[in-house]
Amino acid sequence: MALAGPSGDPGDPTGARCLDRRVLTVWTVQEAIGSAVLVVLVVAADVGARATGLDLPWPVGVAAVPFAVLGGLTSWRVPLARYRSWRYETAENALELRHGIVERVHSAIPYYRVQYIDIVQGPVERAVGLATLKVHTAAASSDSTIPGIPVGEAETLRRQILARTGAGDAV
Amino acid sequence: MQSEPRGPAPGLVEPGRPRRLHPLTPVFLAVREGRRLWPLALLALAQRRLWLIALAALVVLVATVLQWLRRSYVVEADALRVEQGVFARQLRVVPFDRIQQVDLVRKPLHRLLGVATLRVETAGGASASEVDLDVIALAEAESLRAALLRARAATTGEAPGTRPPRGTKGEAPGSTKDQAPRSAEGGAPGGAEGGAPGGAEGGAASGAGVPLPGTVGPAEVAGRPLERDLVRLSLGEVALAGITSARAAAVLAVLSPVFQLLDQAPGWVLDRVDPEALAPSSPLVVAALVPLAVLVWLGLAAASSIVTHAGFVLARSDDNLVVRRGLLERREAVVPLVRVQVVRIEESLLRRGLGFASVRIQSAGAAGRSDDRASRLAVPILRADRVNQVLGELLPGAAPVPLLLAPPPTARRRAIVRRVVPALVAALAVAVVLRPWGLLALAAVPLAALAGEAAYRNLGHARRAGFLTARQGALLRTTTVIPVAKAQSARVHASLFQRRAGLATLYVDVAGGGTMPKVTDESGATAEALLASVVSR
Repeated sequence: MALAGPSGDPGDPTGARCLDRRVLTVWTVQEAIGSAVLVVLVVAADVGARATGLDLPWPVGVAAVPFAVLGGLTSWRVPLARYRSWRYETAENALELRHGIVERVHSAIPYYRVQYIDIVQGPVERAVGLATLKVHTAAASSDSTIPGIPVGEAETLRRQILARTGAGDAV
Repeated sequence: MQSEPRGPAPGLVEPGRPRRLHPLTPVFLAVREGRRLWPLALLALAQRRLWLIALAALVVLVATVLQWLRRSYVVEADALRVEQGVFARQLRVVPFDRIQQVDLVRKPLHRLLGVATLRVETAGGASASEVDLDVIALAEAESLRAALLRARAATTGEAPGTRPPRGTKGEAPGSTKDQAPRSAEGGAPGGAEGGAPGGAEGGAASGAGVPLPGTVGPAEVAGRPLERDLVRLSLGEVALAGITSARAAAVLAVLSPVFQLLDQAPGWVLDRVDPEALAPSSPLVVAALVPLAVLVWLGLAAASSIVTHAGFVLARSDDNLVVRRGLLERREAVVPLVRVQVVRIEESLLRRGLGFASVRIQSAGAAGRSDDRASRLAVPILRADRVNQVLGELLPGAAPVPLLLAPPPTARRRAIVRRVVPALVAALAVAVVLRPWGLLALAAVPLAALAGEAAYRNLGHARRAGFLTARQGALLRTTTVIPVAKAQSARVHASLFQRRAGLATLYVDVAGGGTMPKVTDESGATAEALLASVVSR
């Protein structure tokens, strides 16, 4: 590595890394909340339709069952697939991310392009001690968000990246 | 009361100690919310539900106080750090050497209460400031601004107030200093705009000016710098630009069958028409009116192009590109050459046939001014044989457009399938709903296949010297030239279908927004190799 980060980094910063497994909890909760909202909406529509005198050929609430099943399946499988698809790496010149289930994305953000860095924690992430790292460049379209890394590691990663930004370049 | 003003001593903003914003912050946050909610408040008032207003006020109060409590900033050894958020927490770290501009904004309410908003801008197209400390005590804000500018100067190795920072997105530090008091007086919502020195010559209407006081100012004092015209359009060319524009062309495409019909009309009309049939409602009159309407439409298109583009000049003045145009109102836009991010050469089918093209120039936006139009210049029409010459002026070394490599043959199938499948689905839906005439919609399917074939034939890319050139589009063939040194980051995307065909698409992220340059449907290996070559310095 040409430019070493600050010494004493915990863990080996080289090589591709997976996300923290606890991110499964975060995503599962998020998916489950989304599915639950959908199920509630379907039930409400079902009940509402009956209230207006519509005669539906199924008992109350049955319409929501397929949605509940589908929601349960996605809450269970999608986070796992997404977790397996994720790798990030602090390579020599650039931060490299690989992710995506249906659409695979490999993105590279050179360190010297980094403008500023956010570490964001939603309520669920806070509960399990994870954070999301967002690296911003001058281009709004840069894909540079790493979810599901432990708070301490996010701080380390931020320091590593900023230590390597070096002299920036004109935009 | 930790942020009571204590006079602008250098030690006021102590490094390393988190500070809350001014205790009046909730007031300003609440005012902002109130502005958003006043129609609802009016509604509640009209219904005499005062308790609802009281409840809303209470919620806003609690929310804004919480926001204030959870918001703090720290000046660290090498970066400004801002923490905020009640439910979702956000920590933002802006290294000093990335700071482009520090503004103090004081609206009337700010001045009344002795506070200010401090805005920190970095390079990039985001419309909002990267850090917006609303509000802090005036003395603290001034001291913080001085500290940030000093720290930036120290990390970038430049004396404060001498030269623009290496990002040169916005103003030089010197102008930032000049600007602050003006912003303070102006108190306009866009505080940074108040400081634009004179604006472009076209005034506010142009919106295209990126006047860089640091670069343009001194030269103007010494009289106009030497200018060299790159493109100068005649009135005829400008009119042609309007007539061949996409909007005018759309009308022509729709009405061209009518035209063909009317080509045979005169004799037919004279021989057979019964004068009485020429009542206004007769189809013949309508048919005769159509070409008239088309002529009027084309005239309007030409006229509107003349109004906006008459006397179009693209010139090089020092290290700036200058565009002047307009019939009634002359507009001028200035963009430093070094800020050009991407050049697009657009050739519609019509213009290709006539031997013309147009050129779009995308540049990085100015700090605090993210007017999209400001960052885009265009040459509305250009003779095809002059494109390479102009390209070479805009991006030295990029001309001529090199021979492009075609994507692998699997991309042909992808291009066709990608268009045929949606066309087929839509056509089947129409056919089912509107039997039997809906079956005619199925004719769209072979057309889609043809479009796919044409799209494949126009795909291509080249990676030569410091440039990545990518071409795509059949009806509007666009050749995008990206100076690799301007790429902020890059991505290779491969959808499920692309992976099955061994293909991938490379996107290059550049500053200034707009359409993302991309190399579509290359082989996975080529896309990865391009990615590596684009992001390595």
